[in-house]
Amino acid sequence: MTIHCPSCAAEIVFRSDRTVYATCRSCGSLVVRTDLKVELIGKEAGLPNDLSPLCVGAKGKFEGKAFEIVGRARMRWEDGAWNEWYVLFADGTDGWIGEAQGEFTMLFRTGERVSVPPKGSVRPEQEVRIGKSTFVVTDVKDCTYVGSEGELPERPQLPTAGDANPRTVSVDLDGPGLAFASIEYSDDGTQVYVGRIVEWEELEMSGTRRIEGWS
Amino acid sequence: MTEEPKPAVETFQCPGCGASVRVRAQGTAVTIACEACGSIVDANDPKRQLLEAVSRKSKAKLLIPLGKRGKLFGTEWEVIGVLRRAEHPWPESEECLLFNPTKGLRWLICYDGHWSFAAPARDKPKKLESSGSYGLGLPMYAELNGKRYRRFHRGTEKVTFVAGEFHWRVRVGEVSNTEMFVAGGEALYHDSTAKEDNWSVATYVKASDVKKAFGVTDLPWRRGIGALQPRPAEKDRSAVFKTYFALVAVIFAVQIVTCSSASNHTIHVQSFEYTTAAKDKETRTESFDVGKGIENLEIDLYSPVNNHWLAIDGELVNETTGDTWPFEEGVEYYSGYDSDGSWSEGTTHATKVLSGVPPGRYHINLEPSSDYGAAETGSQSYEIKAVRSVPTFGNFWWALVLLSIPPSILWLVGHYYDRERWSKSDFSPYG
Repeated sequence: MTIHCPSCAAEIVFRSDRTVYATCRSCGSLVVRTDLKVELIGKEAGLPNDLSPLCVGAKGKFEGKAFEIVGRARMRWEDGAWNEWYVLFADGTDGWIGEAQGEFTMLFRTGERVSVPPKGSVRPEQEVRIGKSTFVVTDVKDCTYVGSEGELPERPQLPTAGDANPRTVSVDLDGPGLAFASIEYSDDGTQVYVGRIVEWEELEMSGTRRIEGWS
Repeated sequence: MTEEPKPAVETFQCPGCGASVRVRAQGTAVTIACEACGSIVDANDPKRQLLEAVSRKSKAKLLIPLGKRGKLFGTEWEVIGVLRRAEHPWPESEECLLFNPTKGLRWLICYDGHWSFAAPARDKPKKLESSGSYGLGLPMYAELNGKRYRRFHRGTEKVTFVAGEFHWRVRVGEVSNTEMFVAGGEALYHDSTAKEDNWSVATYVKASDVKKAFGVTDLPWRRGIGALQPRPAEKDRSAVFKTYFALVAVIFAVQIVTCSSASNHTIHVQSFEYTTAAKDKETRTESFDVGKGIENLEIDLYSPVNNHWLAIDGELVNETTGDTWPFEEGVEYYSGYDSDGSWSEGTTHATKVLSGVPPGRYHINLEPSSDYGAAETGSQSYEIKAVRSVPTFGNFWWALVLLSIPPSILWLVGHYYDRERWSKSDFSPYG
């Protein structure tokens, strides 16, 4: 579906029913669409440069299913930052590629009922049962939203009148083998994502970003 | 995507000394230390404010310069940061942070001239509880993916120098508790601070490979054997020893089979009388037939000498082909009384094995000699016996000895390496 940016009238394409937030490539405005209208909700300041080989529009494969990257959100915490790339699969399902320090994970929002520890008490070494496996918390980060591009299914945690610096608590969990999970506690609720660590070659990426000096 | 490739390197002016600082791993770097003066800046702060002002007197000489690229283990890496750590009073290690946009971060560490390449452990190694080790109740082993590593070191390290980019808020003086476990060419490193707990898996890298990969020439000399330096042919050791023992079993089996098929039967016995008149005169046995079987023939000499010796210079003759097998053998036996009682020395039996004796008709030519002399009357009797297909052990022992040489050398050299290696550790299994 194509709409026009309420700020600069440039075209904004929504490739999926699931994505309701998008950043205008021309002016950086962040818009949300509902059944009735398109609303301007903020302005993207522009994402800092990084050496990620991924970009919106790049295509790849995961476990035989083809996907395309349609959006990205960048989060930062006290001691670093990471990218979350939103991907749409050919069969209509969606997922997220987590990218931090050159390592990649593929995660999916879980349909399982998960007994999640309360936000204030989650600590490393705690165990959380997700589906049939037990995961162990490795990291608890207090993070904020840096910026986004492309289309996203969830509202980014932008500063609002009431909260100038909304914080999300992002928890990493390690599962058996390469299994990996993430719990995000935000003002909009708590989300659990499950998936695994992936090697770059496995994704068979094409249309990736060319970084000068790296072939 | 047909965009212009994004520039990989940015530069800015160091707020500490004004030197030009290059940023190579944007997005991954959290702090950047100026190579010239050591001042540390927040990588994600567009204003580049100082996190820590340091004033190094001069630009330090790095083993591998920042920005150098090298291919190790199939991937191209760029050195984005270098730090040095030390545990007083031991020498510093120099640790290079390597980066690749699709592979992530690795460490290339040099200590005592030995290099290792460390990657974050995907699974957390398990320390194996053992009691009473060195009286500390300290786990002596750590296990990862079925491989057991023995504790080599435990201590605290302090960062003494930083240059370039790092993925955490490193500071000079930062202290971490470290543990190291080693096993055949690999090691597990465990570093923990108040904030972080990291396990890495490390592999030994030869200094020559580092030189070749990064194009550097001046690397420190190696001191002794490195903690994770593999023994010669480390990967093949287990196969070599397994093959050796299998071959030893084969040699034993062959020997057992050969011995049990040795008929060991006497085919001719003949007695002779030796008199001084017969000395050095040739005589011969009757002819006898030698049948099939293991093609050897044992010639036994028996003579009940007492305080004499008797020797024969003989040859086995094949009456059909004329082939001969010369041999010499002798017996001597002495006995008597002295202050300690009766004594005896020597033997009255001798044997000699002739090999490669095919079936046929034979006789033995004999030339006897003895010190049985004119003073004695009578004669000294002796008996010659021919025994067919006797079990022999000569080849068996030679085969065992020769086969044992390569694995023994491998074991001895490996043992030397291990003793040298562990001499640097407080947890040596050699005491």
